[in-house]
Amino acid sequence: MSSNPIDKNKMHMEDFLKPLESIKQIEASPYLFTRIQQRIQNKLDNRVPMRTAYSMAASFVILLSINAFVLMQNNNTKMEETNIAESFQLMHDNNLYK
Amino acid sequence: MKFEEIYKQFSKLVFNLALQYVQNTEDAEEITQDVFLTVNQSLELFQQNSEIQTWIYRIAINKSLDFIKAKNRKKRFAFITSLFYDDGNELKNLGHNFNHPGILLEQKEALESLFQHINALPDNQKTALILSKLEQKSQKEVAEIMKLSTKAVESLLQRAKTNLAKKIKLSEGK
Repeated sequence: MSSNPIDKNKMHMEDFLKPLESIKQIEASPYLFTRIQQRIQNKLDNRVPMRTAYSMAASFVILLSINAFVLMQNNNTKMEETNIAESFQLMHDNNLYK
Repeated sequence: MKFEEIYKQFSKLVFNLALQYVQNTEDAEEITQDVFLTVNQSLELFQQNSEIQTWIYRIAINKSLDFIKAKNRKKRFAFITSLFYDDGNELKNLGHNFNHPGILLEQKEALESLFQHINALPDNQKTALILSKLEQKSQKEVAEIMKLSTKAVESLLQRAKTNLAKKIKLSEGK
C-alpha cells in the first residue's frame, strides 16, 4: 500500500492529513542564538546616537533661520532703494516722451 | 523575563513553526532570527494582555508569511530579469528547496506533495491548518493566536480541508 496521500482519494479528508502528525520537532541550531546576538549588536552599532541626531536637527534649524534672515534683509534693502529714488524724484524708467 | 530566557524557552517552538511554513532549514533559521530580533526590540512594549507564547506565535506567523511573500517577490523579479539576461542561476537558487529535517525519509515524497498543496492555500487557511494539525493546538488556542472566534477557526479549517481535497483531486487528474 502506497503511503502517498494523493493516491488515497477515497480516504476521508482527515486521513490524508494523518502523515502530518508524524513530523518530528527539531531543535534549532546551537549557533542560532550567537547569530541573533550578533544581529542585535549590529543594529545597535548602526543606530545614530541621539546626540548626533539632535545636533544635526539644530544645524538644520540654524541654517533655515539664516536663510530666512538673509531673505528678509534683501527685501528691506530693496524697499530702501525705492524710497531713496522717490525722495530724489528720480525716474524709474527710460521713457522720456510720456 | 529576560531575552535569553525567552529564547531558551521558545526557540524550538519558533524554529519548528517556521519550518512548517517554509519546509527548509536555512529559511526557518532566518525567520527564527527575525522573530527574536523583533521580540528583543518589542519586549518593553509587550503588554501582559496576552500570554507571551501567544504573542511569540503571532510574531512567528507574521514573519513566516512575510518571508514567503518576499521570496515569491524575488522569484518573480528574477524570472522577469532572466527573460532579458541569460542567467538562470539566481532563479534556480530561489526555487523551492524542500528540506524538512523533521520528516522521515520514507515519508518525504508523500509529505512534499502534501505540503505543496498546503503552501498553495490562502494565508489564513494555511495558518489555521498548521496550528491545528502540525502544532496540535486546540481550536480555542488557534482562535486566540489568530485573534478570531472559534467558529471562524472552525470554518477556516473546513475551507482549508475542502480546498486541499480539490487541489489533490486536480493534481490526480493531471
